[in-house]
Amino acid sequence: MLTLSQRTEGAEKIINTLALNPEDIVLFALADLNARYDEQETVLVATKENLFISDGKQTKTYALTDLQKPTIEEKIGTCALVAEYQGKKRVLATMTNSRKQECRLFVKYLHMQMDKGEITVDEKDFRQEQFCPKCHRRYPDPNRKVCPDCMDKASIVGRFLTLAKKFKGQIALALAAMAITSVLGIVSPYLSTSFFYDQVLDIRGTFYGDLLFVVTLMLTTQIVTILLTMFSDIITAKVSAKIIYDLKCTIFDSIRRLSMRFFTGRQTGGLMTQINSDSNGIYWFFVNGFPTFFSSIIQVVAVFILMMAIDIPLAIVSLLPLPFYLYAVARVIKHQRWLHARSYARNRSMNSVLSDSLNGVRVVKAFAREKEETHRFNHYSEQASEMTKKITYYHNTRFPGLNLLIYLSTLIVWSVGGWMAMKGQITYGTLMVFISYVGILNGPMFSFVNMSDAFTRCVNGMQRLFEIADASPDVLESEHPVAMPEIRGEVEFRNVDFSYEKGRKTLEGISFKIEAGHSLGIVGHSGAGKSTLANLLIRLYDVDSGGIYIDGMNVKDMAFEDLRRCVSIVSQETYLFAGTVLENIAYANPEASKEDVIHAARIAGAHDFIMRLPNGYQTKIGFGYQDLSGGERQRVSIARAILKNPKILILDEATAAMDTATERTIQEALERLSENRTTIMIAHRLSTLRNADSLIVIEKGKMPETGTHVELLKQKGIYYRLYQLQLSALKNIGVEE
Amino acid sequence: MNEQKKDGLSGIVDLIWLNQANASFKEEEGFLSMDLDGTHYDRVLLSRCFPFDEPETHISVTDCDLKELGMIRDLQDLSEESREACRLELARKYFTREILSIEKIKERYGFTHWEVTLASGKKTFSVQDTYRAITKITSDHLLIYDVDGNVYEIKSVDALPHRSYRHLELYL
Ligand SMILES: Nc1ncnc2c1ncn2[C@@H]1O[C@H](COP(=O)(O)OP(=O)(O)OP(=O)(O)O)[C@@H](O)[C@H]1O
Ligand SMILES: [Mg+2]
Repeated sequence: MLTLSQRTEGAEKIINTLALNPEDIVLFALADLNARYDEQETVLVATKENLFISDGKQTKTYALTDLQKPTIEEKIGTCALVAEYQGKKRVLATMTNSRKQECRLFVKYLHMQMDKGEITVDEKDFRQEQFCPKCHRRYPDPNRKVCPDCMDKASIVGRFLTLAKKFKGQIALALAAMAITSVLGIVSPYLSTSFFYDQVLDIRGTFYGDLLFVVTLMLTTQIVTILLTMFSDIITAKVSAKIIYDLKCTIFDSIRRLSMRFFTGRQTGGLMTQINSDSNGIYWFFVNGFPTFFSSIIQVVAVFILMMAIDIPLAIVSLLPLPFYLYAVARVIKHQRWLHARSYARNRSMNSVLSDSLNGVRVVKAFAREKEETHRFNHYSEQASEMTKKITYYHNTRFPGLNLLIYLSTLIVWSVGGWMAMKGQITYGTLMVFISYVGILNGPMFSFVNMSDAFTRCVNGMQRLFEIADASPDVLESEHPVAMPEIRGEVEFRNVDFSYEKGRKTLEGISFKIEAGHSLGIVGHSGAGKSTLANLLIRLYDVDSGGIYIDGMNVKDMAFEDLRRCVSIVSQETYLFAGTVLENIAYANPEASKEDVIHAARIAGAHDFIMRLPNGYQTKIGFGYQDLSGGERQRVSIARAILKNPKILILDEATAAMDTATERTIQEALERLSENRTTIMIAHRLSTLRNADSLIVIEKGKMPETGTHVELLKQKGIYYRLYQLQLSALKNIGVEE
Repeated sequence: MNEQKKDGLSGIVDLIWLNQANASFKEEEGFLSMDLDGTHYDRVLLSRCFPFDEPETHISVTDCDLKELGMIRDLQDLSEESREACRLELARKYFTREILSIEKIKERYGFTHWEVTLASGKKTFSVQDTYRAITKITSDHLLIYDVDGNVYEIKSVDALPHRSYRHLELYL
């Protein structure tokens, strides 16, 4: 039996009511809604003959022979198992999205049972990596292989420390320096109080009257402290920066390797900011948080020991208020953090409103909505400033309270210690040393409380960064790629299936072949899957089944370098980097001579407008500089692709933003260029494709029509209708081809 | 009751308003079927134009390929039986569960874990990136999307018990 959901107690009970022989059950899954959409466990069980669906009260039995096309239909927040039974379509079971995956697998294997009479488990569906290895639950987000319940902090920190290994000498030095400074920080109050009063000023002291000695000693400690602090600060800053740099390099290196799916699967916009803020979090923890914590611990322990050594009863009295103080600090910081988080959220809302209306200023002005926008902004701004006020108020009321607490604990030492001094139990110097130590003890409490927060943030940051470093690209280069230094340019798609997201086929059963040096035109409605074909050919994604062949070689077996050298694409979204026109064109082939760049630009019809730019080919374009028009950008992109001198050239709507005359000129040049080059052209304007050797029509991911322009017109199908539409549109305005 | 309002835009593109006179709906085997002017549709789909503001008005009726067959201006325009069938279909499509109170929100490693009480009892779920997963329809009315894509609803933040509000406040 294949069990797809957890067999809960309730489920067992329901299965028992079915009174089946356990060996007959081949498939089991659990849905969580009943027909009225109330939450109720509903069991899906299949035997070799029947499908049973039962919620315990009501059981429905469907003979598999009468059942057809079971599928999972998605709604908002819920799904339904739908099938044709005895010729009529109906809903068999319903579930929330939490059960979607399990039920989808149920349907998949149910199909297998119905078609083949047996079930063979596809390992991919149960790949370990989709589940947390510890608690065996599915990861909440398949793109983030993190189980929030089992995340192992120690191993993450451990892994980070391996990065730090290179610097272990320096780190040890810095830690030693820190330890010494913290101890000196305790020695110096001792020198200036107890030692000074009892040993130097007191006639019975060992160093009575030796003022110069004690002053020199105090000065030396101070100087050593300063030097050591400088030393350790420099080392931590340097080492942390180095480690973070290494970490970032690793990250950027992995990002470069990653495939498209990684970027489309998450908010790429935030990715870079995230990496930066995460690494800053880690950096600050190690430069600031950890050293403070480390010295604080040493100080507290040392002070504690010293106090105990000097006078136990007074030590206990001095330490008594400490837990209260720690508690108070924790409360205050917790609330303060909460206030800051709220303030942050409100500021974020305010900023997004602001940037929203600034970015859309054209629309705001066009519709005369300035007043409303101001209103909207004021609302958020008011809320944000309200929060700032609250924070200031809180700060100004609570911190004096904390100071009062410290003062009170010092007063206790003053009174108890004073009383003990009067009775001669302790010396005046001892009293002074205790008073300064109580002050030293209170300081680190803040750092202890802050530490836990900074640590969590730092581990979170590390975890996210490692995650990127670990993400394995799903488009992998073959381990033993076949070298193809020269290719002819024959392209073949054999029965290609592909989907961006599970369950929604983007391409289905696409097969075609382009002879080397020939050209293919692809037409179809918007969203049909044309650009996807191009993405697959250059392996931005990999096909789900079927294969793509260049000169009879599966692209999966080719080296990335060979593949991307011989195929060049001008994609629908033109992207220009910030830089000169020259740099942008030469991007694909930095070795090209300047003259080649000019030739490429001429072929792409870009030369003329480039020469009209103030600095010709050296005019800066891209973000923040000279802006090019849509058609101009496209021409620069075409020049870039041509310069690579590829055997296979893909033009995805590459001339869509140009006027027809410009397009014609470029096309003629391209035709001369493409003499022994395979060209794939994707276009909505059929006239763009009029010289293509053959055409295919893509419609909803399938390829219903193929042939030459004349053949397709004869078929009177989709192509014919498109052609008629465009023709009549031209006729309407009095143009005849 | 259903006369066309004559303003500048109506009537430029054809639109059939569905009502008692021309359409009737029935629920069969989990699907909604429709009879429109003598034509029977085995299965039609409903979509609210304004899912949050107008649950029962301006409802688009399409066939399975999402081609619009007509529009219901108000469920009140339909017969009793049709209305109930449509209500059921809408409830199925826009399935959300209302959160009555929030017991706890725990933040861990970029996820928040929610312990809440629904009409059907206690429920726990996880949310990723609360900033995007909590949709404010108004400042008082929230939708919350969990990592699986289930939708939860808080009809009125102000009406939540005070403790629940304290948990939630941070994410508003
Ligand atoms: N990265 C992606 N993730 C998920 N779905 C995608 C992605 N890219 C495209 N799609 C979807 O795949 C389908 C095919 O997209 P494609 O870009 O191939 O269309 P197209 O034929 O090039 O359309 P157009 O003519 O408008 O450029 C569309 O429904 C689109 O929404
Ligand atoms: Mg496209």
